Amino acid sequence: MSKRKFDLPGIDELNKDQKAVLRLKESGQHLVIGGPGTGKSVVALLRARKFHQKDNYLFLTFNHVLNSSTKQVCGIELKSDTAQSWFYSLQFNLAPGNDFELKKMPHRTDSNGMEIQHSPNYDKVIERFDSYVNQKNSNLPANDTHFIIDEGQDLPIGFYESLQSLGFENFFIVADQNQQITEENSSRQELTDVLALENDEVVELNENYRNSSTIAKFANHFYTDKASPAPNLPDRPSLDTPTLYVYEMLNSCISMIHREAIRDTERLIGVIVATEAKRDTYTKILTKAVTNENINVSSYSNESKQNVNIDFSMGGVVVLCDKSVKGIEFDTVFIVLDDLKIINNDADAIKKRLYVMSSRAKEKLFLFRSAVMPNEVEGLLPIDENLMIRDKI
Amino acid sequence: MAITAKATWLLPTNTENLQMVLAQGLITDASGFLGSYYKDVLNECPGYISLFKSEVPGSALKLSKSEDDGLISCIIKINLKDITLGDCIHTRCDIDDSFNSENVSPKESNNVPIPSLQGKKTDELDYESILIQAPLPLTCIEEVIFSCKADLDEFKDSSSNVGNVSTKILKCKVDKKAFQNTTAGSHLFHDSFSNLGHNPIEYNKAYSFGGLASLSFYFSKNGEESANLFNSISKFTEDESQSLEYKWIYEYFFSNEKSKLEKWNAILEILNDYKKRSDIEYKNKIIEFLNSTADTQPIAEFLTDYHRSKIEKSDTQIIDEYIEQYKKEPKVFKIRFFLFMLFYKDSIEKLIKYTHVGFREEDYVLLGMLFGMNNSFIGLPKWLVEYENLHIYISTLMANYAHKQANTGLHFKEPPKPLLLTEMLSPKKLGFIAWFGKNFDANNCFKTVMPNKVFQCDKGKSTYEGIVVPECQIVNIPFFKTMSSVVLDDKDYSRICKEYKGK
Repeated sequence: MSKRKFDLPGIDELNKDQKAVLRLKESGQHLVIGGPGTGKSVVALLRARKFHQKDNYLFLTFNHVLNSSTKQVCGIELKSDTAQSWFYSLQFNLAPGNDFELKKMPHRTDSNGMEIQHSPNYDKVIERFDSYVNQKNSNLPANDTHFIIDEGQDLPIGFYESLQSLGFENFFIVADQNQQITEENSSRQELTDVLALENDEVVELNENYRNSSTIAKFANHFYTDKASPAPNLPDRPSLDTPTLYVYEMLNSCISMIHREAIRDTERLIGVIVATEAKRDTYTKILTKAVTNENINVSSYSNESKQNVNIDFSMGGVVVLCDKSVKGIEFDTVFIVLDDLKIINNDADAIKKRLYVMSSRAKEKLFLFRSAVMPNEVEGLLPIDENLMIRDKI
Repeated sequence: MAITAKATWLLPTNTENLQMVLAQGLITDASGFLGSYYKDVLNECPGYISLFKSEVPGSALKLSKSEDDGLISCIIKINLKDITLGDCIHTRCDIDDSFNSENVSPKESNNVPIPSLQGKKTDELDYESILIQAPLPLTCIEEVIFSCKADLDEFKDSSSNVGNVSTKILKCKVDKKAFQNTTAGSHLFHDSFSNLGHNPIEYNKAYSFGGLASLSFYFSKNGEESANLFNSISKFTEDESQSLEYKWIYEYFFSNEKSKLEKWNAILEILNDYKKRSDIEYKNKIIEFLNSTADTQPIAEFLTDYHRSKIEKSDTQIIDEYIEQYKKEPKVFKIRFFLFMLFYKDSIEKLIKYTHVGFREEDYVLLGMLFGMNNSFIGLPKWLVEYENLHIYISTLMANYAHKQANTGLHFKEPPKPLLLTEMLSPKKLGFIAWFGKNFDANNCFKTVMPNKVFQCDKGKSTYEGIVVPECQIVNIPFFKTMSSVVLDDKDYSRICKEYKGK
């Protein structure tokens, strides 16, 4: 294992759009839209560094893994949290006294009147928040906090409205509409409206820096939504045309991942799977394969909530379900297609997942598919050999 | 002749361009910028840098903010006293009375005299501004002036938020008055100036040379042979005793004659070609080149398979095999080894941390040269740029190299060279050597030599008549073995320099 860290970008690596974002006024409301690899998270982190000394900011991410990864590699003691956890705490702390009903987050209900877990009823929350403001609740937080929100499209618009009802005014949101994977999310227009911005005030980042051209082209094959700009494809021919390996024996996949990990222990290698069962299998087999070697294999299950036991500051292999990989980047990505299924004929949903998974890779992208198990997803993969090579192992 | 200008020469720009200047290590005209360039006077006259005497016209300051309201203007005070001039400096004449980028209307399009200043002292001439052929080294920056403290703070803050802008060498001050000139002043928006001839500068090569020289300096810590290699390359001199590989690199930068290794210059061209510092890009270009001829195709196949993790041999096995082969055939050109290393360790930081028991001193320096070329000066780790004196020294090397290649006649006096470790460990510096040996666990890397004088044994001790000073000498092999596994960051290097100067 070797140490990894967030390398500040070189001045020559930032384009004029990104530099303009870095020069945005400290106060006010800002929305930055861009596809994967366009440097959204980088500008968000650089903005956080700007506020860091003043200590008047909060960096919010959508999921625990991204929060953990960002904290570990950013090079400062980042004040960050996941948006949901922080919001539940805020609601809890604002409720006066020990009134359990008020401290409990009001949730939306389904058609049977049952509460939908983790789905706040923002209308009710806003009602409460308004009343706290009117009553001049002594627990009200200082409203000069600067919110920096990564993957802002994954949070519902009510989330932002709730914060605004408390008087918060400083928002810097980076978002990519095409990466929405939650049911409750915000469109670009909704975000623009809630921040009271004109359309021409929204900053677009278009240039892809993260991926090689072949990986970017491959990811764009799954691009389904035109509301946010697809990143421009850099003109970079690549050694790293994504490769689909059809495997007979799982061990061949494990050997390849192992080899990639041992070549450079500073590299972060992502193994992205579709289900918890697959995540468990790969984690166990890979852990066994690297016994006695200086390679770390780690994983995270959604059940672990905020206990993310992954050290993103070190190289190694990280096995994750695709719903946990948003915003994270890996040097090499192995996508296991087995168990990835099209539900209710919704091919677009799978395409979005493939788009997110494949765009996590900075340098190399490999896909694995079992030769013996039927696979529903292969039909969605590109046929063009310039986009993806098919091989057997 | 040397300019002994008493005049203050000023370059108005913006902080974005200033940061780029610091990162790339040279003040250039717009064509020399490696990243985003924002309009200012550096784009006025291709190949030249426009300098104003004593005060900057308001319109030139306006130009430096013309692309974006959020840009911050600043004025670089330029010191020209250490320059030897060729025919590369001109003066602007008072040919127009407006300096307005939005309303460029040359009055006399083709017949404006542009007197050369060769042989003249600029302070004797009553010109409001001059053009000097780019690039200038960072030693020419005397100070940077900001209009308010908030701008200065913002500049420092944003510089610390990028990975390759070191502001350590800058002296900055706030002077609101310098920004209040509303007079138009003379300017260059005139055909005669835009067509002013100049000797084209190979910026890529100059920046690559800066990367190469910096990394050779870094690896000079490994021993005297390494230090000699750095000295040769920094003096632009060929050393006949050096290896085929050194000569290959040297000739690429300095010789116009065809080398027998010219075929492989395509590799150096690829490393030299700065666009984006993407690992994949240079690897792809190398593969493309290797695939272009039948005899190099097997190397391309091997490297491609290696990149795709299809080669089952370990990296150590592969390197061991190269080393064994080259031991048997020492005169073979070691290109396969270098290419493999460029695929195996794809960043300067990774190369610096890497050691192999079979490597010789020269191997590290040559690899450093290739990796330095590939990353250019702008791609160096910030901590290396912040080695005491390195930033300005390498900048001057790059500027002198660029002007020498372009045959402009401009030459800049070299600032103090960063101290070489092996020079600091000179035989008489016993106290310093003792400190070094203790702090770097390197006592076994030195031997103490007593002068050849008569001594007596007195109770088991060697005693000399009078005062006799022993010498401590580096023992090459253990020194190399120890130092090649030490990563010396800027703090270590500063500590060493401080201790050396103190003792």
